[in-house]
Amino acid sequence: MRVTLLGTGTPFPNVERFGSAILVEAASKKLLFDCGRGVVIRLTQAGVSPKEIDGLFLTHLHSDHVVGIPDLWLSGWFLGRSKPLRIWGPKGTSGMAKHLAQAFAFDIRIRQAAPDPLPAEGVEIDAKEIEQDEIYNDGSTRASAFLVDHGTVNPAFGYRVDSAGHSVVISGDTKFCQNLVDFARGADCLIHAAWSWLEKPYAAVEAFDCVCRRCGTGLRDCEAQAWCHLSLRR
Amino acid sequence: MKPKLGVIYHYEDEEGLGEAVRKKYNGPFVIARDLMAINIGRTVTWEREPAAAHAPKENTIER
Repeated sequence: MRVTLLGTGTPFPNVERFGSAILVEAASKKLLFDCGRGVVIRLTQAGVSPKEIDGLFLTHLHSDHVVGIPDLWLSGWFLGRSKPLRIWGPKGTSGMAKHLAQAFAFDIRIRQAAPDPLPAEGVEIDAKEIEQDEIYNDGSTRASAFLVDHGTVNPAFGYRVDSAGHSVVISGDTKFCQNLVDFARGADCLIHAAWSWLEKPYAAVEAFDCVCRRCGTGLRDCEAQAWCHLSLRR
Repeated sequence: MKPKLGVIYHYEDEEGLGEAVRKKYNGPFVIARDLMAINIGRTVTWEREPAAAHAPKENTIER
């Protein structure tokens, strides 16, 4: 399993760090988790065409996690995807997909016209709204969505991917959340977001304390470690 | 079972971030940067240097 951090940034524009997006390549599948600013550029830099993405999984619908969807969707189609873009995400995902089609109706119509029409199926979006569950299983790789605590952004999900006896867990945006700890148990790699819009600096230290209190042990003794939001805003 | 590697992303500024985590967590972790790739198998290795590494320099962590 190979994981590429395509974008590690926040909503603040940063030329070195683009919006949230993580590519997981497992058993010949290319799964994308979140779709932030600049995702198609980063995919290209990583040597992956947007048309190759087998599935997009959204942690939540904050704009910095989804603003790259039109580019992924339409560039992937333009570059040769001939089947629908599959998207899994929280409630609201289907509506967003439907409205994207409306927003880009002109471009879609023009590109489906003669003399060199793109395939109609390739511009479709197959959007599924999810609950906490195993939501993807191709026989080799499984992806499970689990609920995390992103405050008023509810529902918000993290994901666990298991393939060939190995696993990676992606936290999504969350403060301390026991559910994340439970799902991260036994994972080979835990990828955790570290930013929140908090005024208090180093809020994560409090979150770490929270982890320790909940487990009743020091963090180092917990079976799974979860980093909660770290705010460096001062 | 602890993760072989923790990875921090979605952060605004790495200054002080690693130290803040290290105060409370003694496992291996890195602060990721864009296009850093992690290979997960019996061992966990990374390609392209992270913004900061708090993990063995040889880039290989075995459980």
